[in-house]
Amino acid sequence: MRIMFIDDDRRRMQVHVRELVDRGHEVTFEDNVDSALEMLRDPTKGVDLVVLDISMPPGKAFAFEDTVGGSRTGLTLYDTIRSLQPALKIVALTNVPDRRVAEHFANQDARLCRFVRKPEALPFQFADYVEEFLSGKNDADAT
Amino acid sequence: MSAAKLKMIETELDHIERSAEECDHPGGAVALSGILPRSLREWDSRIQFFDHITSELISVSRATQTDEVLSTTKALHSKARKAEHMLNVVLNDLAMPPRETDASIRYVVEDEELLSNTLVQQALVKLALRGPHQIRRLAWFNICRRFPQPLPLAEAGSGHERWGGDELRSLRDELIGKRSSLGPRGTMLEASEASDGYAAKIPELLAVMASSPPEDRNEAAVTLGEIGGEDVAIFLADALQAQLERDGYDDEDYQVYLVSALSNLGGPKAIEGLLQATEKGSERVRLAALSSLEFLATAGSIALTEAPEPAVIENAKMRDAYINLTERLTRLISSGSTPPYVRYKAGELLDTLETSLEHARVPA
Repeated sequence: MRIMFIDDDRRRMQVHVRELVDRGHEVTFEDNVDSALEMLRDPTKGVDLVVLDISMPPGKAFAFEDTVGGSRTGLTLYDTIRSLQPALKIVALTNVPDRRVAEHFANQDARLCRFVRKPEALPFQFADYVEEFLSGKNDADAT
Repeated sequence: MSAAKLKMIETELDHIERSAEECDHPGGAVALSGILPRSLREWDSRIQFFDHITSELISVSRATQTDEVLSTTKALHSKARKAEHMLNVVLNDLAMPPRETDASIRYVVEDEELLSNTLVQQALVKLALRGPHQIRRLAWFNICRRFPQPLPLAEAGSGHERWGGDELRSLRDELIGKRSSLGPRGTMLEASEASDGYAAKIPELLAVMASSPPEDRNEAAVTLGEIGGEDVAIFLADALQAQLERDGYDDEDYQVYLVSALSNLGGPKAIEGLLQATEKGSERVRLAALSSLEFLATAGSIALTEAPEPAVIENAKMRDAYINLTERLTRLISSGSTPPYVRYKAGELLDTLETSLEHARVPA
Protein backbone atom coordinates (compact mmCIF):
# COMPACT_ATOMS: atom_id res chain seq x y z
CA MET A 1 0.00 0.00 0.00
CA ARG A 2 1.02 3.59 -0.62
CA ILE A 3 1.49 5.58 2.53
CA MET A 4 2.46 9.23 2.87
CA PHE A 5 3.89 10.68 6.08
CA ILE A 6 3.52 14.42 6.59
CA ASP A 7 5.74 15.45 9.51
CA ASP A 8 8.42 18.12 9.92
CA ASP A 9 10.44 15.82 12.21
CA ARG A 10 11.92 13.58 9.53
CA ARG A 11 14.76 12.18 11.57
CA ARG A 12 12.69 10.88 14.45
CA MET A 13 9.98 9.44 12.22
CA GLN A 14 12.42 7.36 10.20
CA VAL A 15 11.93 4.36 12.52
CA HIS A 16 8.21 4.38 11.71
CA VAL A 17 8.88 4.75 8.00
CA ARG A 18 11.45 1.92 8.01
CA GLU A 19 9.05 -0.41 9.76
CA LEU A 20 6.40 0.09 7.09
CA VAL A 21 8.91 -0.13 4.23
CA ASP A 22 10.25 -3.40 5.69
CA ARG A 23 6.70 -4.76 5.51
CA GLY A 24 6.51 -4.04 1.80
CA HIS A 25 4.63 -0.75 1.76
CA GLU A 26 5.55 2.12 -0.54
CA VAL A 27 6.21 5.05 1.79
CA THR A 28 6.83 8.69 0.92
CA PHE A 29 7.79 11.35 3.42
CA GLU A 30 6.88 14.99 3.05
CA ASP A 31 8.45 17.21 5.68
CA ASN A 32 6.46 20.30 4.85
CA VAL A 33 2.84 21.15 4.20
CA ASP A 34 3.39 22.75 0.79
CA SER A 35 5.09 19.77 -0.86
CA ALA A 36 2.57 17.39 0.72
CA LEU A 37 -0.37 19.30 -0.72
CA GLU A 38 1.32 19.48 -4.10
CA MET A 39 1.62 15.68 -4.12
CA LEU A 40 -1.95 15.17 -2.93
CA ARG A 41 -3.31 17.47 -5.64
CA ASP A 42 -1.50 15.50 -8.35
CA PRO A 43 -3.95 12.93 -9.72
CA THR A 44 -1.08 10.77 -11.01
CA LYS A 45 0.27 10.25 -7.52
CA GLY A 46 -2.13 8.03 -5.66
CA VAL A 47 -1.93 7.48 -1.93
CA ASP A 48 -3.88 4.99 0.18
CA LEU A 49 -3.22 6.47 3.58
CA VAL A 50 -1.76 9.65 5.05
CA VAL A 51 -0.04 9.82 8.44
CA LEU A 52 -0.34 13.38 9.65
CA ASP A 53 1.51 15.35 12.31
CA ILE A 54 -0.24 18.20 14.12
CA SER A 55 2.40 20.68 15.20
CA MET A 56 4.47 21.80 12.22
CA PRO A 57 5.20 24.98 10.29
CA PRO A 58 2.19 26.29 8.35
CA GLY A 59 4.22 26.77 5.17
CA LYS A 60 2.87 29.01 2.45
CA ALA A 61 -0.41 27.13 2.31
CA PHE A 62 -1.80 28.32 5.61
CA ALA A 63 -1.71 31.54 7.58
CA PHE A 64 0.27 31.64 10.79
CA GLU A 65 -2.83 33.01 12.54
CA ASP A 66 -5.08 30.17 11.36
CA THR A 67 -2.80 27.43 12.69
CA VAL A 68 -2.06 28.87 16.15
CA GLY A 69 1.42 29.75 15.05
CA GLY A 70 1.94 26.35 13.50
CA SER A 71 0.98 24.50 16.69
CA ARG A 72 -2.19 23.12 15.11
CA THR A 73 -1.30 23.08 11.43
CA GLY A 74 -2.39 19.44 11.20
CA LEU A 75 -5.99 20.34 11.95
CA THR A 76 -6.18 22.79 9.07
CA LEU A 77 -4.25 20.40 6.86
CA TYR A 78 -6.66 17.58 7.69
CA ASP A 79 -9.62 19.67 6.52
CA THR A 80 -7.81 20.60 3.32
CA ILE A 81 -6.83 17.02 2.54
CA ARG A 82 -10.37 15.85 3.28
CA SER A 83 -11.73 18.37 0.79
CA LEU A 84 -9.23 17.19 -1.85
CA GLN A 85 -9.71 13.46 -1.24
CA PRO A 86 -12.91 12.70 0.69
CA ALA A 87 -12.29 8.94 0.82
CA LEU A 88 -8.63 8.97 1.80
CA LYS A 89 -7.72 7.25 5.07
CA ILE A 90 -5.86 9.53 7.45
CA VAL A 91 -4.13 8.83 10.75
CA ALA A 92 -3.21 11.79 12.95
CA LEU A 93 -0.02 10.82 14.80
CA THR A 94 1.11 13.40 17.32
CA ASN A 95 2.75 14.25 20.63
CA VAL A 96 0.29 17.06 21.27
CA PRO A 97 -1.57 16.17 24.47
CA ASP A 98 -4.35 18.76 24.04
CA ARG A 99 -7.60 16.85 24.46
CA ARG A 100 -9.33 19.18 21.99
CA VAL A 101 -7.11 17.84 19.24
CA ALA A 102 -8.07 14.27 20.14
CA GLU A 103 -11.74 15.30 20.25
CA HIS A 104 -11.49 16.91 16.84
CA PHE A 105 -10.43 13.60 15.30
CA ALA A 106 -12.75 11.51 17.44
CA ASN A 107 -15.62 13.43 15.83
CA GLN A 108 -14.57 12.35 12.34
CA ASP A 109 -15.72 9.22 10.51
CA ALA A 110 -13.73 6.42 12.13
CA ARG A 111 -13.65 4.46 8.87
CA LEU A 112 -11.56 7.26 7.38
CA CYS A 113 -9.80 8.88 10.30
CA ARG A 114 -7.90 7.73 13.36
CA PHE A 115 -5.90 9.44 16.07
CA VAL A 116 -2.79 8.00 17.71
CA ARG A 117 -0.53 9.61 20.27
CA LYS A 118 3.15 9.01 19.51
CA PRO A 119 4.08 7.93 23.05
CA GLU A 120 1.42 5.22 22.97
CA ALA A 121 2.71 3.20 20.04
CA LEU A 122 6.13 1.85 19.30
CA PRO A 123 6.97 1.85 15.58
CA PHE A 124 6.07 -1.78 14.94
CA GLN A 125 2.84 -1.38 16.94
CA PHE A 126 2.00 1.66 14.84
CA ALA A 127 2.67 -0.34 11.70
CA ASP A 128 0.28 -3.07 12.93
CA TYR A 129 -2.34 -0.41 13.58
CA VAL A 130 -1.92 1.13 10.15
CA GLU A 131 -2.24 -2.24 8.43
CA GLU A 132 -5.37 -3.03 10.36
CA PHE A 133 -6.84 0.37 9.50
CA LEU A 134 -5.99 -0.06 5.83
CA SER A 135 -7.60 -3.50 5.77
CA GLY A 136 -10.83 -2.12 7.22
CA LYS A 137 -11.04 -5.22 9.43
CA ASN A 138 -12.26 -3.53 12.61
CA ASP A 139 -14.22 -0.65 11.12
CA ALA A 140 -17.43 -1.82 12.78
CA ASP A 141 -15.78 -1.65 16.22
CA ALA A 142 -14.29 1.74 15.50
CA THR A 143 -17.56 3.49 14.66
CA MET B 1 19.58 -9.48 28.82
CA SER B 2 16.65 -7.26 27.88
CA ALA B 3 16.05 -6.30 31.48
CA ALA B 4 19.69 -5.32 31.95
CA LYS B 5 19.67 -3.22 28.79
CA LEU B 6 16.48 -1.47 29.80
CA LYS B 7 17.84 -0.83 33.25
CA MET B 8 20.97 0.73 31.80
CA ILE B 9 18.95 3.00 29.53
CA GLU B 10 16.70 3.97 32.41
CA THR B 11 19.73 4.85 34.54
CA GLU B 12 21.18 7.06 31.82
CA LEU B 13 17.91 8.89 31.28
CA ASP B 14 17.34 9.31 35.02
CA HIS B 15 20.76 10.91 35.28
CA ILE B 16 19.83 13.46 32.61
CA GLU B 17 16.55 14.17 34.36
CA ARG B 18 18.19 14.61 37.76
CA SER B 19 20.86 16.87 36.30
CA ALA B 20 18.20 19.09 34.75
CA GLU B 21 16.38 19.26 38.09
CA GLU B 22 19.59 20.20 39.92
CA CYS B 23 20.20 23.02 37.46
CA ASP B 24 16.62 24.25 37.51
CA HIS B 25 17.48 27.85 38.41
CA PRO B 26 18.43 31.07 36.59
CA GLY B 27 21.76 30.63 34.84
CA GLY B 28 21.62 26.85 35.24
CA ALA B 29 22.33 26.03 31.59
CA VAL B 30 26.07 26.50 32.08
CA ALA B 31 26.03 24.24 35.13
CA LEU B 32 24.04 21.61 33.23
CA SER B 33 26.55 21.60 30.41
CA GLY B 34 29.29 21.02 32.99
CA ILE B 35 27.53 18.08 34.66
CA LEU B 36 26.54 16.18 31.53
CA PRO B 37 28.87 13.79 29.71
CA ARG B 38 30.59 15.17 26.63
CA SER B 39 28.40 13.08 24.33
CA LEU B 40 25.35 15.09 25.37
CA ARG B 41 26.78 18.58 25.30
CA GLU B 42 26.96 18.98 21.58
CA TRP B 43 24.39 18.45 18.90
CA ASP B 44 26.33 15.98 16.68
CA SER B 45 27.13 13.54 19.43
CA ARG B 46 23.80 14.03 21.16
CA ILE B 47 21.78 12.76 18.20
CA GLN B 48 23.98 9.70 18.01
CA PHE B 49 23.41 9.06 21.71
CA PHE B 50 19.63 9.27 21.43
CA ASP B 51 19.44 7.43 18.12
CA HIS B 52 21.35 4.59 19.76
CA ILE B 53 18.90 4.53 22.67
CA THR B 54 15.96 4.43 20.26
CA SER B 55 17.50 1.52 18.32
CA GLU B 56 18.16 -0.41 21.51
CA LEU B 57 14.64 0.12 22.81
CA ILE B 58 13.06 -0.96 19.56
CA SER B 59 15.27 -4.02 19.29
CA VAL B 60 14.43 -5.06 22.88
CA SER B 61 10.71 -4.55 22.35
CA ARG B 62 10.71 -6.61 19.13
CA ALA B 63 12.68 -9.42 20.75
CA THR B 64 10.52 -9.63 23.86
CA GLN B 65 6.95 -8.64 23.24
CA THR B 66 5.59 -9.17 26.72
CA ASP B 67 3.24 -6.54 28.13
CA GLU B 68 5.75 -5.56 30.76
CA VAL B 69 8.61 -5.09 28.33
CA LEU B 70 6.45 -3.21 25.83
CA SER B 71 5.14 -0.92 28.53
CA THR B 72 8.66 -0.25 29.83
CA THR B 73 10.11 0.41 26.37
CA LYS B 74 7.29 2.79 25.53
CA ALA B 75 7.84 4.71 28.74
CA LEU B 76 11.60 4.87 28.16
CA HIS B 77 11.12 5.87 24.52
CA SER B 78 8.96 8.78 25.68
CA LYS B 79 11.44 9.70 28.38
CA ALA B 80 14.29 9.68 25.86
CA ARG B 81 12.43 11.94 23.45
CA LYS B 82 11.62 14.31 26.29
CA ALA B 83 15.25 14.44 27.40
CA GLU B 84 16.51 14.92 23.85
CA HIS B 85 14.18 17.79 23.06
CA MET B 86 14.83 19.44 26.41
CA LEU B 87 18.57 19.33 25.86
CA ASN B 88 18.19 20.58 22.30
CA VAL B 89 16.39 23.67 23.55
CA VAL B 90 18.51 24.33 26.64
CA LEU B 91 21.91 23.57 25.09
CA ASN B 92 21.02 24.98 21.69
CA ASP B 93 24.16 25.83 19.71
CA LEU B 94 25.01 27.15 16.28
CA ALA B 95 25.77 23.66 14.97
CA MET B 96 22.19 22.60 15.47
CA PRO B 97 20.11 22.85 12.28
CA PRO B 98 17.19 25.31 12.60
CA ARG B 99 14.79 22.54 11.59
CA GLU B 100 15.81 20.49 14.63
CA THR B 101 15.54 23.51 16.92
CA ASP B 102 12.08 24.14 15.48
CA ALA B 103 10.99 20.54 16.18
CA SER B 104 12.37 20.65 19.71
CA ILE B 105 10.67 23.95 20.54
CA ARG B 106 7.39 22.51 19.26
CA TYR B 107 7.85 19.48 21.49
CA VAL B 108 8.75 21.29 24.72
CA VAL B 109 5.95 23.86 24.50
CA GLU B 110 3.38 21.05 24.57
CA ASP B 111 4.86 19.48 27.72
CA GLU B 112 3.73 21.08 30.99
CA GLU B 113 6.52 19.50 32.99
CA LEU B 114 9.22 20.81 30.70
CA LEU B 115 7.62 24.24 30.56
CA SER B 116 7.73 24.52 34.34
CA ASN B 117 11.53 24.12 34.28
CA THR B 118 13.45 27.39 34.62
CA LEU B 119 16.16 26.18 32.25
CA VAL B 120 13.62 25.65 29.50
CA GLN B 121 11.92 28.99 30.12
CA GLN B 122 15.22 30.85 29.97
CA ALA B 123 16.22 28.96 26.86
CA LEU B 124 12.99 29.96 25.12
CA VAL B 125 13.60 33.63 25.93
CA LYS B 126 17.16 33.34 24.63
CA LEU B 127 15.93 31.69 21.43
CA ALA B 128 13.31 34.43 21.01
CA LEU B 129 15.98 37.12 21.04
CA ARG B 130 18.67 35.72 18.75
CA GLY B 131 19.14 33.47 15.78
CA PRO B 132 17.16 32.82 12.59
CA HIS B 133 13.91 34.73 12.28
CA GLN B 134 11.80 31.56 12.01
CA ILE B 135 13.16 30.24 15.33
CA ARG B 136 12.90 33.60 17.10
CA ARG B 137 9.32 33.91 15.97
CA LEU B 138 8.37 30.38 17.03
CA ALA B 139 9.96 30.77 20.48
CA TRP B 140 8.46 34.22 20.95
CA PHE B 141 4.94 33.19 19.93
CA ASN B 142 4.99 30.26 22.33
CA ILE B 143 6.33 32.37 25.19
CA CYS B 144 3.42 34.74 24.63
CA ARG B 145 1.01 31.84 24.29
CA ARG B 146 2.04 29.75 27.27
CA PHE B 147 3.30 32.21 29.88
CA PRO B 148 1.04 34.91 31.27
CA GLN B 149 3.51 35.51 34.10
CA PRO B 150 6.99 37.08 33.72
CA LEU B 151 9.76 34.62 32.86
CA PRO B 152 13.27 34.56 34.32
CA LEU B 153 15.71 36.08 31.85
CA ALA B 154 18.27 34.03 30.01
CA GLU B 155 21.29 36.20 30.62
CA ALA B 156 22.20 38.79 33.17
CA GLY B 157 23.52 41.93 31.56
CA SER B 158 21.12 41.64 28.62
CA GLY B 159 20.23 45.26 29.25
CA HIS B 160 16.59 44.70 30.06
CA GLU B 161 17.04 45.26 33.79
CA ARG B 162 17.39 49.02 33.36
CA TRP B 163 14.03 49.30 31.67
CA GLY B 164 11.27 50.17 34.10
CA GLY B 165 8.11 52.18 33.42
CA ASP B 166 9.75 55.62 33.85
CA GLU B 167 12.72 54.77 31.64
CA LEU B 168 10.42 53.44 28.95
CA ARG B 169 8.20 56.52 28.98
CA SER B 170 11.26 58.74 28.84
CA LEU B 171 12.59 56.81 25.83
CA ARG B 172 9.23 57.01 24.13
CA ASP B 173 9.00 60.78 24.68
CA GLU B 174 12.45 61.12 23.17
CA LEU B 175 11.39 59.14 20.12
CA ILE B 176 8.12 61.02 19.65
CA GLY B 177 10.06 64.29 19.88
CA LYS B 178 12.14 63.20 16.90
CA ARG B 179 9.16 62.43 14.71
CA SER B 180 7.86 65.01 12.31
CA SER B 181 4.21 64.00 12.43
CA LEU B 182 1.77 62.51 14.90
CA GLY B 183 0.27 60.13 12.36
CA PRO B 184 1.32 56.48 12.26
CA ARG B 185 4.94 55.68 11.45
CA GLY B 186 3.86 52.96 9.02
CA THR B 187 1.10 52.71 6.44
CA MET B 188 -1.47 50.12 5.46
CA LEU B 189 0.94 48.68 2.91
CA GLU B 190 4.29 48.99 4.62
CA ALA B 191 5.56 48.70 8.16
CA SER B 192 7.68 51.55 9.44
CA GLU B 193 11.44 51.46 9.16
CA ALA B 194 13.28 50.63 12.39
CA SER B 195 14.46 53.85 14.04
CA ASP B 196 18.08 54.68 13.40
CA GLY B 197 20.36 54.18 16.37
CA TYR B 198 17.84 52.26 18.45
CA ALA B 199 18.12 48.75 16.98
CA ALA B 200 20.05 47.43 19.99
CA LYS B 201 17.16 48.32 22.26
CA ILE B 202 14.70 46.06 20.42
CA PRO B 203 15.84 42.73 21.95
CA GLU B 204 16.06 44.46 25.34
CA LEU B 205 12.48 45.63 25.07
CA LEU B 206 11.23 42.27 23.81
CA ALA B 207 12.92 40.75 26.85
CA VAL B 208 11.04 43.27 29.01
CA MET B 209 7.80 42.12 27.40
CA ALA B 210 8.61 38.48 28.23
CA SER B 211 10.00 38.95 31.71
CA SER B 212 8.63 42.04 33.43
CA PRO B 213 5.51 42.93 35.43
CA PRO B 214 2.44 43.93 33.42
CA GLU B 215 2.84 47.70 33.67
CA ASP B 216 6.39 47.55 32.26
CA ARG B 217 5.37 45.00 29.67
CA ASN B 218 2.62 47.32 28.42
CA GLU B 219 4.98 50.28 28.24
CA ALA B 220 7.58 48.19 26.41
CA ALA B 221 5.01 47.26 23.78
CA VAL B 222 4.07 50.85 23.06
CA THR B 223 7.71 51.93 23.08
CA LEU B 224 8.51 49.21 20.56
CA GLY B 225 5.80 50.78 18.42
CA GLU B 226 8.00 53.88 18.29
CA ILE B 227 11.24 52.05 17.53
CA GLY B 228 10.44 49.05 15.47
CA GLY B 229 10.12 48.06 11.87
CA GLU B 230 8.59 45.06 10.17
CA ASP B 231 10.27 42.51 12.40
CA VAL B 232 8.82 44.15 15.51
CA ALA B 233 5.39 44.38 13.85
CA ILE B 234 5.51 40.61 13.32
CA PHE B 235 6.48 39.96 16.93
CA LEU B 236 3.86 42.27 18.39
CA ALA B 237 1.18 40.86 16.08
CA ASP B 238 2.19 37.38 17.24
CA ALA B 239 2.00 38.48 20.89
CA LEU B 240 -1.51 39.77 20.23
CA GLN B 241 -2.47 36.60 18.37
CA ALA B 242 -1.22 34.48 21.28
CA GLN B 243 -3.27 36.59 23.67
CA LEU B 244 -6.41 36.16 21.56
CA GLU B 245 -5.88 32.37 21.44
CA ARG B 246 -5.46 31.91 25.16
CA ASP B 247 -8.22 30.12 27.03
CA GLY B 248 -9.37 31.52 30.33
CA TYR B 249 -6.90 34.35 30.35
CA ASP B 250 -7.80 37.78 29.23
CA ASP B 251 -5.40 40.65 29.85
CA GLU B 252 -7.36 43.35 28.11
CA ASP B 253 -4.97 46.16 29.01
CA TYR B 254 -2.04 44.36 27.44
CA GLN B 255 -4.04 43.60 24.30
CA VAL B 256 -5.02 47.26 23.96
CA TYR B 257 -1.39 48.34 24.32
CA LEU B 258 -0.38 45.83 21.65
CA VAL B 259 -3.13 47.14 19.38
CA SER B 260 -1.87 50.68 19.94
CA ALA B 261 1.70 49.70 19.06
CA LEU B 262 0.56 47.93 15.89
CA SER B 263 -1.41 50.97 14.80
CA ASN B 264 1.85 52.90 14.86
CA LEU B 265 3.95 50.28 13.09
CA GLY B 266 1.62 49.51 10.20
CA GLY B 267 2.21 47.02 7.39
CA PRO B 268 0.37 43.84 6.37
CA LYS B 269 1.27 41.89 9.51
CA ALA B 270 0.02 44.66 11.77
CA ILE B 271 -3.17 44.95 9.73
CA GLU B 272 -3.80 41.20 9.98
CA GLY B 273 -3.15 41.30 13.72
CA LEU B 274 -5.61 44.16 14.12
CA LEU B 275 -8.23 42.39 12.03
CA GLN B 276 -7.87 39.28 14.18
CA ALA B 277 -8.41 41.49 17.22
CA THR B 278 -11.61 42.92 15.74
CA GLU B 279 -12.86 39.37 15.21
CA LYS B 280 -11.73 37.61 18.38
CA GLY B 281 -11.13 40.18 21.11
CA SER B 282 -13.36 41.52 23.88
CA GLU B 283 -15.54 44.49 22.98
CA ARG B 284 -12.98 46.96 24.29
CA VAL B 285 -10.18 45.33 22.33
CA ARG B 286 -12.28 45.14 19.17
CA LEU B 287 -13.10 48.83 19.36
CA ALA B 288 -9.45 49.70 19.95
CA ALA B 289 -8.50 47.61 16.92
CA LEU B 290 -11.12 49.33 14.75
CA SER B 291 -9.77 52.74 15.78
CA SER B 292 -6.29 51.54 14.94
CA LEU B 293 -7.36 50.35 11.51
CA GLU B 294 -8.98 53.72 10.93
CA PHE B 295 -5.77 55.44 12.07
CA LEU B 296 -3.77 53.53 9.49
CA ALA B 297 -6.33 53.67 6.71
CA THR B 298 -6.64 57.44 6.97
CA ALA B 299 -2.94 58.08 7.64
CA GLY B 300 -3.80 59.42 11.07
CA SER B 301 -5.99 62.26 9.86
CA ILE B 302 -8.14 61.80 12.92
CA ALA B 303 -5.27 63.08 15.04
CA LEU B 304 -5.42 66.45 13.39
CA THR B 305 -8.99 67.04 12.35
CA GLU B 306 -10.96 64.83 14.77
CA ALA B 307 -12.76 63.45 11.77
CA PRO B 308 -11.35 60.73 9.57
CA GLU B 309 -10.68 61.83 6.06
CA PRO B 310 -10.83 59.16 3.39
CA ALA B 311 -7.37 58.39 2.07
CA VAL B 312 -6.51 58.85 -1.59
CA ILE B 313 -5.94 55.51 -3.32
CA GLU B 314 -3.38 55.94 -6.03
CA ASN B 315 -2.19 52.48 -6.96
CA ALA B 316 -3.48 48.94 -7.41
CA LYS B 317 -1.71 47.56 -4.36
CA MET B 318 -3.35 50.12 -2.10
CA ARG B 319 -6.70 49.51 -3.74
CA ASP B 320 -6.40 45.74 -3.14
CA ALA B 321 -5.46 46.33 0.51
CA TYR B 322 -8.53 48.51 0.98
CA ILE B 323 -10.78 45.98 -0.75
CA ASN B 324 -9.46 43.24 1.53
CA LEU B 325 -10.13 45.40 4.54
CA THR B 326 -13.68 46.20 3.44
CA GLU B 327 -14.37 42.49 2.90
CA ARG B 328 -13.19 41.60 6.38
CA LEU B 329 -15.21 44.42 7.92
CA THR B 330 -18.29 43.35 6.01
CA ARG B 331 -17.89 39.83 7.42
CA LEU B 332 -17.43 41.28 10.89
CA ILE B 333 -20.58 43.38 10.57
CA SER B 334 -22.66 40.47 9.37
CA SER B 335 -21.38 38.04 12.02
CA GLY B 336 -23.95 37.21 14.68
CA SER B 337 -21.31 37.26 17.40
CA THR B 338 -20.24 40.85 16.81
CA PRO B 339 -21.43 43.16 19.60
CA PRO B 340 -23.82 45.89 18.38
CA TYR B 341 -21.57 48.87 19.09
CA VAL B 342 -18.63 47.16 17.39
CA ARG B 343 -20.86 46.54 14.39
CA TYR B 344 -21.78 50.24 14.36
CA LYS B 345 -18.18 51.45 14.49
CA ALA B 346 -17.10 48.91 11.88
CA GLY B 347 -19.86 50.30 9.67
CA GLU B 348 -18.49 53.82 10.06
CA LEU B 349 -15.02 52.69 9.09
CA LEU B 350 -16.43 50.75 6.16
CA ASP B 351 -18.14 53.94 4.91
CA THR B 352 -14.81 55.80 5.02
CA LEU B 353 -13.02 53.04 3.15
CA GLU B 354 -15.72 52.78 0.52
CA THR B 355 -15.49 56.51 -0.07
CA SER B 356 -11.77 56.09 -0.73
CA LEU B 357 -12.44 53.24 -3.13
CA GLU B 358 -15.16 55.18 -4.93
CA HIS B 359 -12.73 57.97 -5.70
CA ALA B 360 -9.76 55.73 -6.41
CA ARG B 361 -7.59 56.90 -9.26
CA VAL B 362 -6.83 53.31 -10.27
CA PRO B 363 -9.09 51.49 -12.73
CA ALA B 364 -10.88 48.56 -11.12
